Amino acid sequence: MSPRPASWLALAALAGPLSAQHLEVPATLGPEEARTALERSLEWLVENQNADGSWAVGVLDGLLELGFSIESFYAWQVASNALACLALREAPETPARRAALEQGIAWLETTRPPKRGSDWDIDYVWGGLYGFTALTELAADPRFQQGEWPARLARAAQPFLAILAKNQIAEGGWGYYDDPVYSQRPKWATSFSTALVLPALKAGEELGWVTDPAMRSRATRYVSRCALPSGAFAYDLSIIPRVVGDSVNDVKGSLSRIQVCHWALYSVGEPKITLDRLRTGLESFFEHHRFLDVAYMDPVPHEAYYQNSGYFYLFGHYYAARVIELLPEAEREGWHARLRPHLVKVMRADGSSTDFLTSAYMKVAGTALSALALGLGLEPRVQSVEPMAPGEPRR
Amino acid sequence: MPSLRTTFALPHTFLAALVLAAASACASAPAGKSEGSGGGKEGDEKKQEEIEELTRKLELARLELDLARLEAGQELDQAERDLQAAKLSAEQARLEREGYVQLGRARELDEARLAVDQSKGRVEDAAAELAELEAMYAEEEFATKTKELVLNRGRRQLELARRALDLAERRLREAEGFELPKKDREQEEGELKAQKGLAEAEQGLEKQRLAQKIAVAKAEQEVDELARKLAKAKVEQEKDGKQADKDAAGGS
Repeated sequence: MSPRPASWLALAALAGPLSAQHLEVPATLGPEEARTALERSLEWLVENQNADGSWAVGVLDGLLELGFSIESFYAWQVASNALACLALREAPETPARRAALEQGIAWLETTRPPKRGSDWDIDYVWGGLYGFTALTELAADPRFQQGEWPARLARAAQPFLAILAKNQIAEGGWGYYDDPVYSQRPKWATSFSTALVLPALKAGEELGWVTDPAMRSRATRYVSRCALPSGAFAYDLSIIPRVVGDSVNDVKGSLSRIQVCHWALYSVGEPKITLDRLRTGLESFFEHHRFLDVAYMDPVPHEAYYQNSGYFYLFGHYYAARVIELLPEAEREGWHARLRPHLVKVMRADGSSTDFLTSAYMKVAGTALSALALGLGLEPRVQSVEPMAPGEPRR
Repeated sequence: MPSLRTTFALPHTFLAALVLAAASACASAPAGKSEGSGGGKEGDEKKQEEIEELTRKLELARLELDLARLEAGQELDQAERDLQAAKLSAEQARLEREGYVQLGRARELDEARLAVDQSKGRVEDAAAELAELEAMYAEEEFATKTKELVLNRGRRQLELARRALDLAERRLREAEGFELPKKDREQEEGELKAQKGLAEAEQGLEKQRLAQKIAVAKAEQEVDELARKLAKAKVEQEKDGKQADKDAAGGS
């Protein structure tokens, strides 16, 4: 199956020659430069939060995404809000950030769950994937293991888990479109959208939120079956993956998928994914990074070499940072130092980042992904464990 | 004598010939008895030949009358069919023109106007999209190569949309000024032509009726004339036969 056109964070995995795109950047950047950049992106997130605790808007705010179902824009807003919460959760705490985070969580708790947008457009799955992921990671945060937080988070996770349960395809994956004949349970999935939620499912089982372990085992198998002999991960599972020519399934078209799939499979204990495979995947990422650079900010999905899309860029860098965190501590800074320039070089003067369009949700998601990637390389993370009463924002 | 072929083809003619032959034989017997009378016998034979000739002609004339009646029916049927076809053509032409005048003309004009409006919309969309792309890349500080590719494409799409609008406007002017007036005339001409065809078919039918009536009447007249001549010849033959018998009786 060919790659599907944009999905917001249609965060897939993929790249082109030169640039994002002309900047001369150093080969490495140290923690201090990264911290400065991270502060800018976090400031942007705090400054651009809506009064109700949300970010962005749940409606179409540009002409370039006409054609998706109306509901998809709301679903992407939910997903980008979940990422923003994740970014603030990972951020060194300040009163303003803590308040913004709690307001963001409160919005995720109270906003209605996204619904299926149309027969073919099931982008609402993104809301389920990142909504559930964010809530499991928040539940692992000591600040949210006190008082009524655990119960609130568990309650908030259920609608997102329900979306996942309803949309897991027979082969075990999650996607964001359905094919004819359209069915309540869709039939198409991708490796990367499935992989990103695997560790959250494991965490959900440990939290007692996920009562059916088969959901994760099916999903793990789906992602594992997408692995190709070249080291790439197929865009989606097919009996005979298309790998010839300028295919998205080439390593050069799979740079970001490799990272998320490695991180996910390693995190859930898939034995085939060894530390060496993580290193090989990261080396491919940097060796062929020009293919991500060329696709950067191309508003036409999959137009660049190896069918890379702009929205693979920040998604891939975030999961590369997570892969780096799986390596022995002594190796990490070297990898992070190589990753940071590619994040900093695409950060705007106001601290925001996007890689595909300038839709509000894309900017929120892109900025959050950038902040997450930058923050993962910075130690120690400063977090308060001081409990804070819900509904009392400090900013 | 009728030929064998004619006999098979026309049995009643053959029967008539047999009757005549028998009559001739009967008539010749007394003549044989009066061989000595000379020129009388020769006259009888001549008369008999004349009767046979008239009999054949009469039979042929009757056949021709049958044929004339048959042809008259066929020709009239054909003329009536032609008339029906002409009526249908005239009705079709009338409906076509009526449909065109009442609906088709306005539709074609509206289609051309819609094409102009759609093209205007595409120009506006392309301009808006280009503006959005320009705004997006104005914010974008890094993607210079992609920016140029994408903005060039956006400008080209706007230019093509403008040219398409120009074409649509020209097509509308062409439709209003030339194509539709030409169609008006073609529709009118089509209906008039069909009406003319109908009138000609009606006249053709009437002409056929008269022509066939004349043809049948002529054939009937020919039959009557020959029948009359044959009857007269037979009467004369009979009269001659009786005179010969009387002469023979007087001579003995």
